[in-house]
Amino acid sequence: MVDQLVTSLDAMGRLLLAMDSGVGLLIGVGFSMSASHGFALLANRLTPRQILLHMVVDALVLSLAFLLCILCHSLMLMVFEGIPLQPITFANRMGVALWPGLLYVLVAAPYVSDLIAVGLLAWIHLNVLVLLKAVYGIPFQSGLLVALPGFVVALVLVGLLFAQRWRRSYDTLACDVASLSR
Amino acid sequence: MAESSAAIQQQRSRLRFARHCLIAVLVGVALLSLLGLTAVRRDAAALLQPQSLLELLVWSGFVLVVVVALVGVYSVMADFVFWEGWMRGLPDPSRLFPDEIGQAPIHRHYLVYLDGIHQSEESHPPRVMEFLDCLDNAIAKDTLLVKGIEAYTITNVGLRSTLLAGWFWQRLFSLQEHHPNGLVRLICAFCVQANNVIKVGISSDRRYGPVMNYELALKIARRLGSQGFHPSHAARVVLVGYSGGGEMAIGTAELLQQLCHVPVQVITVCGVFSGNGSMDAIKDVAMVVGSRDLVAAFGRIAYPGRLPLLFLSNWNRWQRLQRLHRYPIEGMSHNGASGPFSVAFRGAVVKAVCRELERLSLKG
Repeated sequence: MVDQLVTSLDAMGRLLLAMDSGVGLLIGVGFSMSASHGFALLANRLTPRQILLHMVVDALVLSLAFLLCILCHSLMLMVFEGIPLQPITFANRMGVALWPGLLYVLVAAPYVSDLIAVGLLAWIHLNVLVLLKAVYGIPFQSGLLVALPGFVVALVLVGLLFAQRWRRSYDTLACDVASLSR
Repeated sequence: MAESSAAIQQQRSRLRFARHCLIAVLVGVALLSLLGLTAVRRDAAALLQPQSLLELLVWSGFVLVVVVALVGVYSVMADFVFWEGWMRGLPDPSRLFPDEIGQAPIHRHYLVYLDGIHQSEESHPPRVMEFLDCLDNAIAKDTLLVKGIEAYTITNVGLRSTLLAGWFWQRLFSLQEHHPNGLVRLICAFCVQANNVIKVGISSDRRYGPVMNYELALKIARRLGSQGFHPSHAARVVLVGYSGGGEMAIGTAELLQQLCHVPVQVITVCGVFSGNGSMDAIKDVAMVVGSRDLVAAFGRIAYPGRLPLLFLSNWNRWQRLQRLHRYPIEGMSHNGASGPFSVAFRGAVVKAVCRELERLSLKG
């Protein structure tokens, strides 16, 4: 059973390598994630132009968050596995792991959003582990140690951005309702 | 004579040609069917292989997730476009009730009924109407029962008249009511209920819930205003929510209290609710529950916020500060012949609602 699973994951790694989409995917993932919280911008009662501007800025910030995550992976590889620091080459090899993030726009769906978000983030993390094994031959257990800090950094950055947007929208609503109580 | 013979010959040859064409078409159809049948049999045989079944299952699951998510996104879009003010009709909350009223209304208590996910229009199904008539007869004279509020739309108009999808709902309701095929009617009813389930999901979503619940609270407040409610003469508003209406009632209660400036209390009947809504300012919540209600029991699993494990959830925090009143009814299920609107149980449900109203009156 475990052998079958490892074989499947190896096949998945070869498939990801064949996709060869590189770091350019980051922007697409950033836009998809930015679109997933577009309703927060609507809740803030922004104009269409402001919404568009916020979405572009958020997309770039989110792409940057994942770039930092990849840089973190690269540093961990150097520290624990002794692989020379080559962030650009590493990012080009590992960028493809982020492709499930293109579906992140579906997190905008009500109620099932948490399930979709957790599923997609877990999928991205699994892709990173599989690619670390396929490209650098790092076993899954060691890969987990290498990939975890970067992943946590990315999650914290994404979470902070989303929380800030939603908090502002609740403030707008609270202002509306508070004006009634006066 | 020769002319008529020529005409007959021409007619005969035309008929012969038509017959040949018909035979050719029939042979063609038969051949295609045969080929198609072979192909279908081959595909069906291939499909029954475990690997193909697994692939089909994975793709079906993927498509289902995407479709459900997209429908949900569309549904949220309508709420937020309304909130943004891009659709006309969002009322000014400070002008919901007139500054002064000429004659004091006879009603001091307002009982607002919010129906379950089966509701497609403002009018309720006959069985629910009978239940509401019983309830109307049982409540005190100074209490007004407000019915016919469509809990799953945010604008004052029903689904039939919505701006972008009105034509779709009109067609769906028409098929649901008049189509001779029972399966088509069932599918249409399922679509209406699926839309309402999504609205329950939006109301319970911690991101979208506050905006949607506020819009629904505005709608209820406007209806109350049109029925003679005025904050200066009213004592309280009681929201009675059946099934998914329970979620809408709990979600809107606090906001409605701020809009109406009177205490708002909630009674759920076979309620399926998340407990995610903010309830800090709500003092009284009661639940009428059936011992055989599996849907409400499933709701507790579907909404983890009501499980004791998540002790920081809004529902659990509220339960630590206030006392929840439960009215269990032995043998009652969620709907149908043993549901709360059935002849067998509606008396017991009405009695439980009235007991809770009396308890609240004594407390007040």
